[in-house]
Amino acid sequence: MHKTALEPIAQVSPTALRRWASALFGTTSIHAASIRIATLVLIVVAAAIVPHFTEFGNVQSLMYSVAAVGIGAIGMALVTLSGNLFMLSMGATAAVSTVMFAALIHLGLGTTLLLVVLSGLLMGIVQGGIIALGKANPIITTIATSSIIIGAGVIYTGGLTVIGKGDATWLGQGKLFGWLPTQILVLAIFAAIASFILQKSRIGREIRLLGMRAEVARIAGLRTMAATLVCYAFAGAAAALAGSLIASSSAQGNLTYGIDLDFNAIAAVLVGGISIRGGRGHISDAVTGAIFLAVIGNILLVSGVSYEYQLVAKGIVVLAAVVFGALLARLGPGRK
Amino acid sequence: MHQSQRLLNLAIRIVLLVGMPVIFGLSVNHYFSQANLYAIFQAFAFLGIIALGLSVTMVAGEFDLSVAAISTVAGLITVKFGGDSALLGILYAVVFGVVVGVANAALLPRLGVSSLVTTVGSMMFLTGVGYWLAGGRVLSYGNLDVSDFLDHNVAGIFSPRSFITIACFVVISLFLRFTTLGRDIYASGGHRKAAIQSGARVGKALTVGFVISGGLSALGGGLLSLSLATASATMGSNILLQAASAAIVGGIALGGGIGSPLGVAMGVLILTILNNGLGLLSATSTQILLVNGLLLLIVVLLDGRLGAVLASPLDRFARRKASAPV
Amino acid sequence: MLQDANPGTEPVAAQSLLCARNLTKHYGGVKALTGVSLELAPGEIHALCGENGAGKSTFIKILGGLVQSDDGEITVDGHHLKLGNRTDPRLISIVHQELAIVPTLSVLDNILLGGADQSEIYRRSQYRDSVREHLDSVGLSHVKLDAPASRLSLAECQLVEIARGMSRQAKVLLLDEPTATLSDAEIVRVFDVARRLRDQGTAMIFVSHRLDEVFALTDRVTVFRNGQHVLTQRTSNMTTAEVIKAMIGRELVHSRAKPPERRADLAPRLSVSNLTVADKVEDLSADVAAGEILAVVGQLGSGAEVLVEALAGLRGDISNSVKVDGQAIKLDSIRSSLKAGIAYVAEDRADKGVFLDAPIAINITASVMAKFSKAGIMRRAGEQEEARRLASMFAIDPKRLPHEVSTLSGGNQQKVSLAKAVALAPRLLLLNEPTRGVDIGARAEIYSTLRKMADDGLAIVFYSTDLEEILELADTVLTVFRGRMVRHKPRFEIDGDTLLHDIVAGDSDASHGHVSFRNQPAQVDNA
Repeated sequence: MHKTALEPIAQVSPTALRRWASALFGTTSIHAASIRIATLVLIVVAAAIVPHFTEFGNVQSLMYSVAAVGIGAIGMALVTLSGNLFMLSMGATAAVSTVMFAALIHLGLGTTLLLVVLSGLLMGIVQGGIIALGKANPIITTIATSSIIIGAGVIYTGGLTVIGKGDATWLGQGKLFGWLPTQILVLAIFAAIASFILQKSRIGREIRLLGMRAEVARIAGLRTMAATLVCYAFAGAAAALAGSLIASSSAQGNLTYGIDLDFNAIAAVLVGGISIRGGRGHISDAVTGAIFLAVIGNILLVSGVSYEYQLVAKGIVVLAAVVFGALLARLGPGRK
Repeated sequence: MHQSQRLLNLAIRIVLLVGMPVIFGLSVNHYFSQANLYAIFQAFAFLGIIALGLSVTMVAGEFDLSVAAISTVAGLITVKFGGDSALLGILYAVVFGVVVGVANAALLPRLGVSSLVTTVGSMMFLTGVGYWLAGGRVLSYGNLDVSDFLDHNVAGIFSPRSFITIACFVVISLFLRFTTLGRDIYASGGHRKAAIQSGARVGKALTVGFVISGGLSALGGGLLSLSLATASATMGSNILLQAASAAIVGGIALGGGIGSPLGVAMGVLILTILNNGLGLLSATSTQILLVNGLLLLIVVLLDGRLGAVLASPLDRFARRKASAPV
Repeated sequence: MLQDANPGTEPVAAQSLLCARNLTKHYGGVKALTGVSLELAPGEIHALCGENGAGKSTFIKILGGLVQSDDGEITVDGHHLKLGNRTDPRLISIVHQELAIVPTLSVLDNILLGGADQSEIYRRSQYRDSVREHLDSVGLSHVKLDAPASRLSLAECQLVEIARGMSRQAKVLLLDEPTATLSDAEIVRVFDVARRLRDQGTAMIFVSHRLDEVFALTDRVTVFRNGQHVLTQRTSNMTTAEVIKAMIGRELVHSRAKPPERRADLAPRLSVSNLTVADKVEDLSADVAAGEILAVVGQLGSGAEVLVEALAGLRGDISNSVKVDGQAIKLDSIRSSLKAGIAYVAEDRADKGVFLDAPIAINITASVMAKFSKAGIMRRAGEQEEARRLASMFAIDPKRLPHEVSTLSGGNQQKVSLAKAVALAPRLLLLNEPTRGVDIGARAEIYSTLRKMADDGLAIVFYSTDLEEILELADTVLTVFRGRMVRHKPRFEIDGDTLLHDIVAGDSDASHGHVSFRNQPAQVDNA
């Protein structure tokens, strides 16, 4: 076999490093591995230093703040992995979903969840269809659909809060073993499903390859249209599920609830180390990012920092993560 | 056919610019009254300056998602720190906008990060800053004389604010057409890799593009706040949607490298005429929002189809269309 | 003084215009360039040869200031260059392999883009006359200054880039594979320009894989191998075999396999009748037998490449009657082409052929995932086996399967691209420029694998602008001119000159353009 000039020996080290990271952290990206370490360190340090951090009530509060955002981040991650950057209508979808949840809860929690998630899925498919078939810019499209969705929501609610007439306490306040919120269980199951689809299924691999290089995917005969529809459907469903979680705590829906899901989900995805270029990253990265940001938010909250500062802090963290990730990419085998 | 698509676009714009006023004029009383035309140009004053800034980054092949956030914070800065001198307040605001522009651009070429990502980050960051500055309240500006001055009637339908916007359009138009940096901005958007390889000053061009965007957004936000004599953290939340629509309707291609300030001005006018007309027809603000959303959707779809026709530069070269078979 | 640095170097007599000494670039453990030196005299055309990965690109980029050398120094016309800074385009200008043309700008703006000596206020009128002159001299007098560059053909774009190089009035012009995308007739034009520049005292470095062009045009030739300087000699003192040996470090023996016997009893593997594609291909009919390798050739714009793309299902604007093994098929989409057993390998592997960031194994099975998925879930075991089988078919180290394709050299990447298509077990394999940018060693391996598959019954149709490749690989040659077929003959009935003639003139009555750069139709050492 012809040994071509310059099969660089040094390529072994970054690859070996990635294998090591993969074995240890379940991820192949240095950025993602760093965030996992950082999250652990942050939690440990906070538990040691920050007063009230480890109190039962606070831990509960932390877990609840992770659940909805984590689910949103998972949906966003699929869109990002497919190369479509971000879906900026997740907040609107979540907000409208809280209203829908409250309006339907009298049908029972299970039925309501099914219907709301299904509608989110449909909204996602429509947007995916516009983007895939119409070849429309994914970000601007979702900016447009976001306002259409909210507009529809305002027409329905008239800007008022919808008060649900049903019992959503299993989801809203339910705990397993007395301490684990059912919402975390929902998050875990959702993450497992998403991860399975991405890693093990054919369409999941097609989503990833589409994100890596759309033109190659097209010529290779991959089902690019289906892949786009699937990831947007999933993201829509995720937003709807997140909205349901938010609404379940009080069985009420309002168009200001969950409207910031876009920001939070994007922040989680970026901080978690999923590549903006598409194709690289894992579902667990998005969840880790959500946990990391939730911990920071919680630390600030428990230390009495006001909401405004928290937003500023989150923005800084996101920018820092973006810079960090970009620097890492540059230092690696600079082929990109 | 690239040329014919652009001509078609232009024709559609002209038809809309002429047709809509006709339709509205027939449906609504006093449509062509001075008061109404003045209202249209007042809306133009704010949307125009934001759309202009955004469009410069789009021409450079980027997209400044933070324009709305910049204008909001700029408004807060102007009101908060322009107590004694409105001019000073505006100055602070514009400096702030320029600094944000530099920051937005700084991460780009060196780190190879897309501006869609960096400006999402700055948008989030600035939203937080906005809440912090406003402290949960609506700030008010004491000097109502400034407000009166900015909005007083000039030549029947204009005002100093709309003149400032028009002046900005003229200046930016000259800049893009008659400077080497302007040419490099178009090159950076037309084909980034080619621009870098040929030695165009891409880094500088992008920085200037974002500085223009940040500066203009800040100027617009500051002037708006002075004119309304208030500033809050949630002002101008829909302006991003409208600015993007106006730019794309105005012929700015999402892919970059194509479009002009004149086209953007037309796009802004189309949008302001549309919203003004809808309002006169008793549409609620929600309905107007819906229409704007639908319009952007349609426009993005058209741009996508156009994009597929024009194809990326690499694609086009691969297809190797010969200008004449040899 | 420079002789010591580079053994095997013929000394430069005149005062050198460019003096690059001891340039080095190590990326971590990757030694892209080590202690390389080169000198250029004014008016010298200097060839730079080497396999992919030998360091030619890095060297060019260092000279242009796009990459910073770790060591050494560069002097141009007495000016000492600051390493890592963009080189003043008046001293060194690069004509890139990937075109640096912005399609949305006018031709004039493109030529002036990146030039030095331009004030901030941009008055185009002051440059128009000189740019017009340069465009005329490269043969583009029919191109308007204000025309958008998007209207130009690929060849015209390359010529515009050369015109840009000229307008920079650079002392040294670096041409990186300037003829890779040009047809043979246009190459003649480029050579004329190069000689004219040489007469004006410009020194040029001509990076090329094409040894016949090197021998036709250049004064001296330098060979790099593994990032190091191997030799610099007067071109006239070298033979092709010696240059090849210096490039790859060993002798290369081409073996030509016998063309396959035609089976008269079977329906042809591919049967094309009256194929028409918009205004690119008109009424084309041809047959390809199982086991036959057909080369489709033609100048850019002739429709030859379009024919291959159309068979792959990439063109929507097609009306045709195409049969595979006697069965009529539709060619309106990639999907329908794949279903008919047609596999396509695109010409630009980085953009269209391979997923650079994905493991090799994933790449190879990308088109056949359906075979290894049950109820939508991928079954890894069978997939890995298949990937290994295909990898060994193309001499790709199976140990590298989990590594990303980006870690491979250009030649091996192309092999992955081929393996991906072959995984489909196609009845017909379509190749678009099968070995562009691939070094000689990998090229030989690819040709031999293709031959073997053809012997096993695969029909292959490929488009190429590389005459040597056509003569080397094809059993039959189909020449296209202005969308129509002008000749369809077995390869052994055609020689290089005839082939070129078909491409340029199209019919036997037209005057035969004198092709001065070819010494002989086939390289003696290839036999």
